[in-house]
Amino acid sequence: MPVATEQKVSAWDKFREIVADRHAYAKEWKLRTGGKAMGYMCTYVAEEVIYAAGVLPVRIMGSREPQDVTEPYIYGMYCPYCRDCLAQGLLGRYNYLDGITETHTCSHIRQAYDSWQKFVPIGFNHYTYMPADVRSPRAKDMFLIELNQLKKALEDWTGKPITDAKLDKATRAYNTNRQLLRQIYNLRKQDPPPLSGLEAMYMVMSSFWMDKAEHSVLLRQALAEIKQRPPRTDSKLRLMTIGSENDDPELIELIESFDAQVVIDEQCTGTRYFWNKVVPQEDRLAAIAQRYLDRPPCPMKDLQEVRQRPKWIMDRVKEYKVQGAVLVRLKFCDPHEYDLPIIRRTLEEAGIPTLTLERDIITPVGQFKTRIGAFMEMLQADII
Amino acid sequence: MTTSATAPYESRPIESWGKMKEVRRNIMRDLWATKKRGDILYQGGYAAMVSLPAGLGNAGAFGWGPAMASIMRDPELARRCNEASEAAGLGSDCCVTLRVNFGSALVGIHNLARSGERLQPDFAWDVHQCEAQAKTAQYFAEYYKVPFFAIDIPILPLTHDLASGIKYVVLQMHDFIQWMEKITKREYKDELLVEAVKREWKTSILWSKLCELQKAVPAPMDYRLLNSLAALLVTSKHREGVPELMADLVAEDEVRVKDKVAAMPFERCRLLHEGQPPYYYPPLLKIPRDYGGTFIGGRMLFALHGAWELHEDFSWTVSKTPEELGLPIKDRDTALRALAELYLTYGRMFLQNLQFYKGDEAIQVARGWHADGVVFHLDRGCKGGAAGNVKNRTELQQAGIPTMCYEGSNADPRDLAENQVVDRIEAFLESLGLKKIITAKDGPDEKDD
Ligand code: SF4
Ligand code: SF4
Repeated sequence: MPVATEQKVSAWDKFREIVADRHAYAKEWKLRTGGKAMGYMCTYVAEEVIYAAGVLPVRIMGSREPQDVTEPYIYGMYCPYCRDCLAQGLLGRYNYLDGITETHTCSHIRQAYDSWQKFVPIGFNHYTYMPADVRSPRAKDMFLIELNQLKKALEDWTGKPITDAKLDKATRAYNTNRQLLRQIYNLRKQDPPPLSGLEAMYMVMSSFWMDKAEHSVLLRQALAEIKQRPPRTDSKLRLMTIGSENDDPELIELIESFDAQVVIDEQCTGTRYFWNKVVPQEDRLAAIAQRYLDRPPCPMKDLQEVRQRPKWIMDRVKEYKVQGAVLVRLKFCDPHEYDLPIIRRTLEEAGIPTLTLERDIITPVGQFKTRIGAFMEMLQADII
Repeated sequence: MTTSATAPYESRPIESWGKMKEVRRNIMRDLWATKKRGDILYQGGYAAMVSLPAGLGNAGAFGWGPAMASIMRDPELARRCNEASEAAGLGSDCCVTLRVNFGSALVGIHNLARSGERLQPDFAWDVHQCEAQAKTAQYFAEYYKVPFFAIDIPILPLTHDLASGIKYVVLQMHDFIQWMEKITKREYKDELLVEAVKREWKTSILWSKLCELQKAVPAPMDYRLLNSLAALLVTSKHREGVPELMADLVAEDEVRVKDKVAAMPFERCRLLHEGQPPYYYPPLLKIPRDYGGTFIGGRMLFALHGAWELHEDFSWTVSKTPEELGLPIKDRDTALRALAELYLTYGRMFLQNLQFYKGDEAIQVARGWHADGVVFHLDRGCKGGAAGNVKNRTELQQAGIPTMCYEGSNADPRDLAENQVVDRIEAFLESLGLKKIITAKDGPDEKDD
């Protein structure tokens, strides 16, 4: 039975369940619909095109367990997340996928993709070039050519044309999902916010593995459930998380175990994934291309004289009345290493204290607890 | 264990090396005099498409830092520069070229003339291929508070529409030229661009020829000599005198090949080195000499400045000239097109970022250059260059080519455990059946690089 019609389970429990047992949903979806599933790694992959082909996009993420299967493929100085992703393929955890696709992003994740497509048997793979200077006036035409090639590859593979009507339907499904996520994120502007940072993370992450139409049903349910929640009166410190890939709920849980709440983020498991919508145009793929060029950029895509990320972050700081920022850097993640000093400086010059945490795929709870605790004390002292 | 031996090959210095040094000296003098002449000085423009600012006149290119060579001669200073960057918040594992050069700015020696004056660039720019490249120029633009421009390089698989990639780059180049005119308030002279692009192409073809001559047994040059030349070309492929120098070197090498004049008197073992070497530790590239072995080059080194034609089996041959390829260089449009083709179609450096073909190419290079083994540098400071190396190593081994890896960094001495690496390379050489030899020492140009 589709997830969407299960009314007894709270939407919030369902989000958590999907994240915890991430492969179950796609396997069940395939059985139910007879459709194909396509793995992807980076959130710059234009999912709408895949969805329009009737294929379920499934994000490939790590399992955050120690592994040694990637040693013949990726050197340990590359980010542990990309190695963890590849490990999932080598260990057969995503063996229900019918294809994989990836877009131009950091060389870390591209290594994971390169080895996956060579060493994990799979029926379909396709790489899409996604411009690095997303604000260049030349980027859109280039990206559009590449998106057309992705569309053609999918059509050849499935044997079915991707019509404008299908692209419209896919775009609507994604836009609705994004709008609902924004709506729930907007509630976090309240003081106190009616949902925790941890809940928000489960909510966004669960959408990586679900059919967006079905996820939106859950989001509507979640909205209704939020309204039923008794009003809170406890005001906590309002924090923002910023930085590299962070798919570890434990870290957010740890931060929120103090007298603090994560009210907004700038991460791929959060705002960077869903923030902006596709603005319809006659040329459907052009509209989709524009959406990915306009989304909150990751450091790999921020190459303008005036960097985009600091401004985007500061706008959210103001909107969400952020009092402190936790900058999360995954070990060896150089794209984020390049931006971190500038972002830290921007925040601190605006009077927002920061804490930088360098994490591996597993959060070192004991060590972080002490550092987060000290940061909270400092923040509280500042506020008093 | 050692064994004594008599050298099988004649080995003598490269006669044109004196000219190389003279050209290098003149270019350096000219660069440092840029501001005095009233010309434009820029930061960045590193290793590719260096002709683009030529239309501004005799513009000075400082790459990422004109003091890089002297920093590398002083490991203690290299340490200090890296540490300064880290103290400013850069991670200790991000691009070391950025770290060491940015650190040199923080310790006050970046762009520092002998007179004690810090030369202020007029702008910063670069092409962007790995995640660090234009970001480095962005850092310097922010540091010197000057305008910044990036040219994004599309990294396209062979099955994609390369023509659209060329067009994308050409359009960005047009934008860049207009941008340079605007920010420098100078008229951009297309005839200067045309000449510069012709020279950049010539130099690239001659670089490939020089590398191809390394296929000869014995090889006429070794890695260190090629690498010193590569350092000159990084910002200067398009400068007057450079293609002429390259032509002289090629002509001399051809004679050396014909006469079997070797870089090293022994060539019992031909090795490739993949990745940038640790610049602050020159002895590393000399280790094989004690065993009668030589580093003759590497896929990355050959790719760096070359114009190569890629074949279906991923082997390379020296590219034809732009005229032969139907790429006339007459005006701004045709010059930009030819420049884009040079790097996107005939350059093997950008496309290595795709990684898909890197292993296949490495196998073909090892075979084509008759290598007995490949040494991979797992460079913590160059994620772009080292990407895929572990997988490539596996692929080479599967193809029956002996390999080894060592960990280090091209510009951060803290990342290289020297003794350990020496031991490992020696063990690798022994695993290839070599023994230390006692010889009348060394090859040519000991002090020339
Ligand atoms: S965490 Fe950083 S290095 Fe790793 S895949 Fe993401 S952007 Fe790349
Ligand atoms: S290729 Fe290596 S050295 Fe060059 S910019 Fe990229 S990471 Fe730095």
